[in-house]
Amino acid sequence: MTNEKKVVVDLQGIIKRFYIGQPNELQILNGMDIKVHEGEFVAIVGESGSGKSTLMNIIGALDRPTEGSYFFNGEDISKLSDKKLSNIRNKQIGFVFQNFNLIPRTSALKNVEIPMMYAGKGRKERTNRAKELLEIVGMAERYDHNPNELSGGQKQRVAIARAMANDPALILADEPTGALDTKTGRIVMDIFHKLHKSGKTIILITHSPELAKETERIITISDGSVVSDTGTKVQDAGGENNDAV
Amino acid sequence: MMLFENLRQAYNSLVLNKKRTILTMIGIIIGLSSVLLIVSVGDVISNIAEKYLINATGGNTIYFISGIDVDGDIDHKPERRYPFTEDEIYDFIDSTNGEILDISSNSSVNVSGNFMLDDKHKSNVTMQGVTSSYEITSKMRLTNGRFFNRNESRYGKPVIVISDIAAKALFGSSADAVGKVLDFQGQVSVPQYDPETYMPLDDVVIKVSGNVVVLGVYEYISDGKSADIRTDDMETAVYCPSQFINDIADLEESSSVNGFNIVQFVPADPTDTTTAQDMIRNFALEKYGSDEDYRFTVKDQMAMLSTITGAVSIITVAFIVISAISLLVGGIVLMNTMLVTVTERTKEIGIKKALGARNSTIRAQFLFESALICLISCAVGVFLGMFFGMIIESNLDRIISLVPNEGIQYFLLNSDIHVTPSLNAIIISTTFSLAVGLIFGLYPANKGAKMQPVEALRYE
Repeated sequence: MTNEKKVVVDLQGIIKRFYIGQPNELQILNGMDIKVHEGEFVAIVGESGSGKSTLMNIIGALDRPTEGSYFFNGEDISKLSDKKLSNIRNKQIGFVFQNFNLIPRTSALKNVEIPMMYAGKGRKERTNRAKELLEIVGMAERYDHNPNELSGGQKQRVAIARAMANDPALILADEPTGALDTKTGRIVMDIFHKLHKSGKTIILITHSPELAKETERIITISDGSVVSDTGTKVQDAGGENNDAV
Repeated sequence: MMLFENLRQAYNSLVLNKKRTILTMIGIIIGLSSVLLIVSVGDVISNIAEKYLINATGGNTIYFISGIDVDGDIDHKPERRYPFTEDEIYDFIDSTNGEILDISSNSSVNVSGNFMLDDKHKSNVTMQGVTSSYEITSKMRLTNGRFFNRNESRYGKPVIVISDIAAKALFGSSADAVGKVLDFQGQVSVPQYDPETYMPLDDVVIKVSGNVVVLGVYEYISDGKSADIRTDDMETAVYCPSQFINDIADLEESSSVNGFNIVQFVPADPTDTTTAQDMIRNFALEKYGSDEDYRFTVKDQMAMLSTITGAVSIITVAFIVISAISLLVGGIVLMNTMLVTVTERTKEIGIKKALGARNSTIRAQFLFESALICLISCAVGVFLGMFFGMIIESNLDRIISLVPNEGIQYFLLNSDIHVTPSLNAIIISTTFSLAVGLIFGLYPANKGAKMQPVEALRYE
């Protein structure tokens, strides 16, 4: 019972279809059930075309499933409005993308501040927190640089700091080392390990089995279904809304 | 908080696409400047109309037109005239208990010439014929003596009121002037019109001379219209009863005066003339009311003025509508630019949405940008409007000389014309262009706001 943890992500029978003109409909996800607990570091692995991007969009609340329920921190968010979904993306989920996706012509500091700005935090609080986060990822000296003045690894570190801005319940990383060389990729992965040790829940989406091995749990998907799951080391907390002991 | 950030982003975006921004702005600036220009011109015209009426008669007078109802049936032509004699009119004024001060009669001609005390003391003057009410309607201030009264005015007594400048030149001081007799010589130019075409002909010049008694001295105040500097020998106006000029120049002979059909009354209270108007109506009905065909008009000048300014504002509105079309085109250019901007920044919209930006956040960002374009254009437009206004104003003499009518030319040269946009015009055009920015920016901004985050993120 000591390993009992709250469920952060709970996908139940998720189906996603795309309608590309009648009668053609494309079913990408064929009823997925995935549960991720608080503090877990999970890799979702799959070949390209396996549906992992679609899955990531649903987990990240960027898209809604066609069928099925998605409980995030105990709340069913599969049918929420645009406004409520953006609120969840803002406060509960931190994205790290393959191609960094920093806002151009905007300093590293401002980039990290953006999610806090959307959350309505004051200017002083934002700046202090952003500087703190940039220090954690080792970018303290370059906070006033614009993205085009940063290397790939540096951009990704700023992006991680940005993902952490509102202290989200989940960090969702989509091929975070995909555009980086081995050395800088290593630095980025080390940051994820550091975050995991501090108790963050991380889902890493990748096609690389080596990278997946660094995590503590690997979920393999193929053709829109889960084909293997190395299994969780923790058990569900008693109730969905019950705070973990 | 978001305001500053929106401003920063909008500014960055505008600077990034300088050429596009400037081209868009040019469209709006042209539209805006034309609205500004039209509103300013409309203002100038109504100001001139107002000043013209007030200048011509000095204050709010009541027109009484006997025999015709100007608002009534146009076909109604009086078979006979319905005149009032001067004695009838003055007796009526005496019976109004001061509700009506006088009739207003600025003589249409002035005497220009010399006043002499002796050979050494002379002063160049323009002698203007007015009635006793002029003291009140012109708001003049007397320093010594008094203005002529209604009876002196009525019977054209040889009395004058001179300026303190003329008093100093002639007598040494204002106090010494009152009660003195002056000789004068001068001439009266009587404008002539072709009886059929009403085109102006050469003036007939009548030489006049005589003696006048100085009744009072008024304080000369520069009207600020001309750049005159107060000097001791400058030409100033002196006032005498208009009837006096008529008498000395024998004007009665040339005009067919055997009673008045049109009378201008000066009411005691220019702001509320209803009582005075009622009295005039009763006066008219008393004499001719038994005739069923009798029609007449009683109208105060403010009512006439509002008729004129009303006409001007209708024309102005029509022109605003036309120039608003160019602003509309500017708005469409803006919409096009913003659509391109939104499409270009699809990826950025996707990132922002992933970071938790709401639809309203994205919408505000783009609306801010289009509003900023319009506000900058507006500032430039107003600046240009002032610049061109200044150019026009400094060349006003040349422009006015193009006006075909000499009378109007003279009047325009003597009125205080400002072509620079009024505050009113600036507020109207700013509001207009801001509205254009928001209305035409709304569709592109909405397009950006409604993008699906997944598709926007995928955009390269």
